[in-house]
Amino acid sequence: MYVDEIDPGLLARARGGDETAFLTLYQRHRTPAFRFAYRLTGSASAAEDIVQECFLALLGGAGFDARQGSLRTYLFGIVRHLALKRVRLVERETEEAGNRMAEFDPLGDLLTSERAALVEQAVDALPLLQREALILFEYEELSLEEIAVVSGVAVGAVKARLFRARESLRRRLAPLLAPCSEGSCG
Amino acid sequence: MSEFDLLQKVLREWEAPEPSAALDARVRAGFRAARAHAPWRRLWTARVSVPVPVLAAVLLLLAVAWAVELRPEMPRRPVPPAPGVVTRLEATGFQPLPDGVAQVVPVGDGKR
Repeated sequence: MYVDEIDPGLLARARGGDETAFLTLYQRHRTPAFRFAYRLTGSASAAEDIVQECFLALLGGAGFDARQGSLRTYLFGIVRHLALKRVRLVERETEEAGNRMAEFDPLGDLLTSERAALVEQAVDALPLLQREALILFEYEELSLEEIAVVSGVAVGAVKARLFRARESLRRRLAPLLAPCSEGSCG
Repeated sequence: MSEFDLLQKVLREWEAPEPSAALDARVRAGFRAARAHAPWRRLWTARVSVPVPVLAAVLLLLAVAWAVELRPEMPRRPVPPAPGVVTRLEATGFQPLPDGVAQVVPVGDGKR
């Protein structure tokens, strides 16, 4: 039986108080949920808070409907909601978002930062909706249809966001892309 | 290698950390705390999912029932007697028939 078909049964048992069923679900989905939250918020502690809140919301009767998608996409939807709330709050408080684009200097950073840190900065500098689409597609390997369900938009909008995100990253990560093409990045 | 593949490869260089063991403990504790809630307490936060058409139909029925219940009662008009006919009902001294045998007594005979 496919994992997505088992999840609703496990969820029903978990809601009935079955700890083993709950932990099975949690172990199955916690890492992707955490990675997604981490990449959206840029903070491991915030991501852990979000994952905890997400799984407890699932128990508390959050309305999962297996006919509208898998539990995986549903959980990503909750994580997205909680993470965006947090990110928007932080951005409003620090006004960091507006300055981030201006501060981003790939060539300068290349000298002092590692490549992974540059990629993280480049992704982090993307507009929020492009960032979430890119993270779900590239890192969590969701299909376009699944991303559309998670984000609550049409598939066409997801495609457009991904296209713009890639274009932007291609420009920003040009210094990394060139050496790679010569075979220097593994 | 295409530019698209190249970008994908570079993106994969950014790896996310693993969630900590402390998170597992927190989530497990959260589950136990939620389970410890008595069923009657869970009732206050329970949710019911109802399709919108069903909800609309129920609300409509309730509104109709409410309107019918609160409708002001029309005053009853006394029925005028038909001309030329006098209806009299005299129940004084009425007694039920002992064995169900009915006897028709004309008004004039009763007076006599």
